[in-house]
Amino acid sequence: MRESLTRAELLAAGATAFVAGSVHFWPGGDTRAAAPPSAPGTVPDDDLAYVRLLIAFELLAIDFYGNALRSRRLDQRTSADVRAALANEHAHYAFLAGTIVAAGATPLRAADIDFTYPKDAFYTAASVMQLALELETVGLGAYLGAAGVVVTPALQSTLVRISANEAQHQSTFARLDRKPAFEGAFPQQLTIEEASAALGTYTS
Amino acid sequence: MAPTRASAALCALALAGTGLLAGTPRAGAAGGLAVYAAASLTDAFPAIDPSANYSFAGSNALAAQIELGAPADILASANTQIPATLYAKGLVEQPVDFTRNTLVIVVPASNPASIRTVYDLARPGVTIAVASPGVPVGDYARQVLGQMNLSSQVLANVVSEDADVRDVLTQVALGQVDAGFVYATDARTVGGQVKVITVPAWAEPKVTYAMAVVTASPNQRAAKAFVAEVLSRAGQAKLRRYGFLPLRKPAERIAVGPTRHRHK
Repeated sequence: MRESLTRAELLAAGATAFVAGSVHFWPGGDTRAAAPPSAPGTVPDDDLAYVRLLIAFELLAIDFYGNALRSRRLDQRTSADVRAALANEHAHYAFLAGTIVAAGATPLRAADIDFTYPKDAFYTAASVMQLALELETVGLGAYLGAAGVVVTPALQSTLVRISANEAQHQSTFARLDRKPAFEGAFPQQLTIEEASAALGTYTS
Repeated sequence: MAPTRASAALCALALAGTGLLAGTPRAGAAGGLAVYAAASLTDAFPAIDPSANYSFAGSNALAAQIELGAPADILASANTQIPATLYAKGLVEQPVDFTRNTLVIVVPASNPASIRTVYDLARPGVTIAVASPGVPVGDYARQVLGQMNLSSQVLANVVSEDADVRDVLTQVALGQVDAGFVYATDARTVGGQVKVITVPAWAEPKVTYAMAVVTASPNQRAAKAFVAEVLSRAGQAKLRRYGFLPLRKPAERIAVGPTRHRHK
């Protein structure tokens, strides 16, 4: 698999994923679609509350990685990793949004949220990687927290898979940020309140 | 939970000085331009132009009055949809956005239900006041709950649907409910009587205010001057003094440094 995607390919993949479910681009990943739980009423409100929150995280990640690439502060290798992570986040969003749509509701879209970042977040490659690591740590915690709580089996299993993918992102950006690639044996799970508060740091 | 009649009366007296006691609508001084404005502008607008004749209420109620031919010169709404709807009907001129606000949760200062986050509003037994559907602050609150997938649990705890934001605030400040959704600017007006809990920004709708001159107004020139006054630097500064937010500029979010460094 190529390390980078053109904008057209990315958009096409995102559009396909939105319709068909999740598509994974990370090397070695499963490219089969992860279909959202279907039929209204099959996913309880408490599970959907987590899905809503995770959608906001994915929109944050998509916005952040887009800005990171537009900043032109990253070298070719790092840009390729960021593009791959961005494609993954698009696919995660598609799965989560599909879950909300299947429940008969409307998911958040990028235009619904204003994201804010530290003033110097995109000044240097190092600052971009530092924030990437922060965001992926929040995202991983949110997914792990959700996976430990939701009761819909199909949703839970996909959240576990996404958690693994977010952990790959975290590890990759930790290496690029010159931090340990993995820290604790048991990564932190965030409660929905903790994840929401963490997300609030980057929204206004 | 409900206070005694005597204590409620005492609290009402205390709140009267803040302009909190709700009527529909609350009118300002007689004479001058007839400005129909969202209840959340009760304190800010008279500071910008004390000479106008204000009627403060829920924006939807004001719009309904204009549709029925009420002699308004200006409508200032807590959302953009209501003026846009009236504009589509030819009842007002082209609306202009003039400020922003933030939705918050307020609880009585003693916080008897120990509310810490919006998720706590879903606990059985919590009592909540929210503005009625159609009132912008009520619609915003329902949008937040929808985005967080808390609608069914939280709305089941609603014990009071009110005509405007100041009615919601009064109920919370009097301790008649455990929590309510109001704007940040309203929460400021009652100081230590309520505690503010933020709504997660990721779930919050964009609260933008818009105003328009009423097409049938015989005072077009004065009405346009009022709009210009609100949009002026001095008018915007006064709105900010009352906690309103400036309109967002498109490119203000992302700062990219002047130097270029590559990460190894």
